[in-house]
Amino acid sequence: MNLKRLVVLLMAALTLIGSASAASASLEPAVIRIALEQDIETIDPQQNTAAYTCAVTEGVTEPLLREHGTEILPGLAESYETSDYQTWIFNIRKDAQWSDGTPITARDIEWSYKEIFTRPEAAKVYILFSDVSGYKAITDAQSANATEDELRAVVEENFGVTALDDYTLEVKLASPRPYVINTFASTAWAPIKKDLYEQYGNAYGSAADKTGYNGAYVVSEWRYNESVALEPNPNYWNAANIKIDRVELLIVKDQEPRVNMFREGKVDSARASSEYLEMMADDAFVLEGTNWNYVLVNSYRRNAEGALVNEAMSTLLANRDFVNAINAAINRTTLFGSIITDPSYLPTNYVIPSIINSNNVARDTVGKLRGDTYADLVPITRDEAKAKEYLAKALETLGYASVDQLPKITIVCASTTDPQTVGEYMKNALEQTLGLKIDVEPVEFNVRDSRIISGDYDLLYMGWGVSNNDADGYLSVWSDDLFCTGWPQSDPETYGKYADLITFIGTTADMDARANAILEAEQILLSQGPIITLATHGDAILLSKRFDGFGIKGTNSLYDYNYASPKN
Amino acid sequence: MLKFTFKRMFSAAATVFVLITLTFFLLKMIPNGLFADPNISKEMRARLYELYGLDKPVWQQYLIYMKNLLRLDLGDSIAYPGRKITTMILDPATGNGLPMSMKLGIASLLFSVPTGIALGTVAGLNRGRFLDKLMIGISLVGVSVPSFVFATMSVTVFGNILGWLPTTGFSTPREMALPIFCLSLGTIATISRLMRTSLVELESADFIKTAKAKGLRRSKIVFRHQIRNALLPIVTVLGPITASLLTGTFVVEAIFNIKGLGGYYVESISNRDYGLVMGLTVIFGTFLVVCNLVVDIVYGLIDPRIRLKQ
Repeated sequence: MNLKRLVVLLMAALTLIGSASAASASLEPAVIRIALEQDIETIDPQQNTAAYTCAVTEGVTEPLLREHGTEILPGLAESYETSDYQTWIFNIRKDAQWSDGTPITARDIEWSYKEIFTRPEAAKVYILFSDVSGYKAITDAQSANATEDELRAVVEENFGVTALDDYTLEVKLASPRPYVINTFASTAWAPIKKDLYEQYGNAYGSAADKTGYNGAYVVSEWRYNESVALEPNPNYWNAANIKIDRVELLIVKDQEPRVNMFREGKVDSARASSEYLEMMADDAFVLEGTNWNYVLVNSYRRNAEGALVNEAMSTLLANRDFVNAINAAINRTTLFGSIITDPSYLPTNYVIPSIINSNNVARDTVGKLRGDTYADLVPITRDEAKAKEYLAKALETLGYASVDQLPKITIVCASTTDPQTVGEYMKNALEQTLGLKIDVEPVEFNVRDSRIISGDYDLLYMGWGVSNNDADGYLSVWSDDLFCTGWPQSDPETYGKYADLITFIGTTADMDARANAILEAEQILLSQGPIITLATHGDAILLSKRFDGFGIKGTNSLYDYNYASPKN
Repeated sequence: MLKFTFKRMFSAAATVFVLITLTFFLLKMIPNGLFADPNISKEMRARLYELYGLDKPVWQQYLIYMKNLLRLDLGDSIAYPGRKITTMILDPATGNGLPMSMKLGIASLLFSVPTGIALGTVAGLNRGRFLDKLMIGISLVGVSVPSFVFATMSVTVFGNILGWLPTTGFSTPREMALPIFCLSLGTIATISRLMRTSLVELESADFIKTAKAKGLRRSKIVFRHQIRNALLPIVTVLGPITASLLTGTFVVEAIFNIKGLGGYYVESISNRDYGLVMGLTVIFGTFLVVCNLVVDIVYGLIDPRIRLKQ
């Protein structure tokens, strides 16, 4: 009898211990840990566009709308109305407030958006407001070296953002643009807190206590070069639905420790190179890249003052047959399939399909029209016969007796591993296939960018991605010669036609006509434009399966954790 | 001795001054490409230059920098808006930066110097025997194989395959084991080879022969005369070794994700973060000069011939 009692007591005790430990397990805080490859420079939404920095602003700021997967959800605005896609009315939620309880009104938002243009340190995000009316007048004033006061007056007078009352914000675009809806969800469209900004100026966003928070989380701890910890913002309008107790963004710059930390369960997500994709196939996937790698072709080689310095080279690179010869001599499959190990894609068109697919309006218009590609304009393997044929035509047109008479061409590239490898590959391919004389000049990133701005290169290898997910982002960049490729000077007729198409794309409200114009512009760019496209750069991401709703986005912030919850 | 010390201190201060001045002007000569983003207009770029005081003549920038340096203000970072370089390097809030590098460096010194001396002594006293050959082999590997190979190999073997030790971090003794081991190997190899060579050379020195002739016990000869004198060359190399170990090592810190100064050396240059480059130069240069100064003074104390020569 005593023994029976003892057994019963023991079993009861074990049951109690078991249920207690189960209860404590369920009470364990839900923490998402993400390894970032760079230190966070600032969490000021007006100063950053990099994916790793946006990993923080994604949680602590709230733009007008939110992007989750392919959905556009309410954000600071609980709803919006537009009848013509040119004037957008955002109904700002009445319970919108900063984490300290200060209310956020439409007037605060108007002030914040207008302030951007007087901040030189915010120059990187200007482009995200380029659809708003008055943008051109403002950038013209900046170019005319307007003083800060003059600039403020121009912004006040022209910029198409107006608070109609405390809870209604009107955004007037330069023309009807239904596809810009995703832009309203970018973190650059989150307001900054006026009193803190006035106190700290340029240092706004440089520390946890120098930043205003209106997102789902606040920064609870920021250890420079080590980690940023986020905890739920109790004053967030949707605080009741935030299921993650803490988000930790850990700075792990080197790939090997990033992957090891993922293996050891210390982080839930990390970027890796493609060699890990096969090794960790269960946890890894590739996000199709939105960044292009391409070669800029400079058909108007100039010095720092803008004067033409090498006419022979410029004439050579303005010859389309010669550029086509280079284009056909590159074996993209070998280069990006075997030599470069990072995940790469070889699209045979220019506007990245996933960009179109992530924007509902663009998908419905451009997406249904395309499907065809430009395999002849962006060949994925080498066509030696065609390359030689193009070269022969170019030599004949330009009056060269043989390839030996051609000047030596320099390929400028960044001095990091992959760009140098591409440069060396191109040198080898062009010398062997076409007999050209090629030099590779690796320079640091900053120097490379300076050379782009001053037009001081023959060929230049680089990567570039869009900051808004619309086809226009890919195409419009070539219409104002930001990269000093010399296209306007060497072929003004085609350039003019292209620029007109881009203007039309940016102003029309007829989505079908716009889609056709996009396709036409894309074809002109690939057949006569100043670039040789090579491949798009993908991202290999390791992602744990511990959470629902925790994912990866293609644009803006890479990580999407605001709607995450632990798996049951 | 006092005169000797003052002379050395003056020359150390002059070296630091020349180093800072040269680095400052060399940096200004590099094609800068600062704020070279095609999205930033020429005018906006000019305003950014003004914001960071880069629009002023170089000599004026230099005077401002030196004036601030005297107040121990290393300026603001360009790459990380709103951050003070002094805070980035010293990082008192988190213990990262220089304190973390020093923690790793001191641990590595405490492990590598006695180990190197012990191994070198064993090899030197067993000249030509198996132990000597083994030590020579190990130290040859230690000197010639770069630390990133050791680090990657130990992460793979002890972390990924055997799972004995964590591969990232530097807060618990288990986390510290691999980084200290990998960082120390090169130093152990250098010191042990030096120690062995000195011991072997001393074998034929007159005073050792005299000691032997006097019939002193071998242990007494070894510990009192041979090892003590063999340590002199070790003291010479300890200066630069200490400076480089304490001020951060790029490879080991990167592989084990230790938040020391190492990463900043490369990052600051590619970001053209002038303030940070200068700050690191000041820190590293000062450490190196101070360590060498200490070595010189210690050397002067333990070997009076040095003082006399001066």
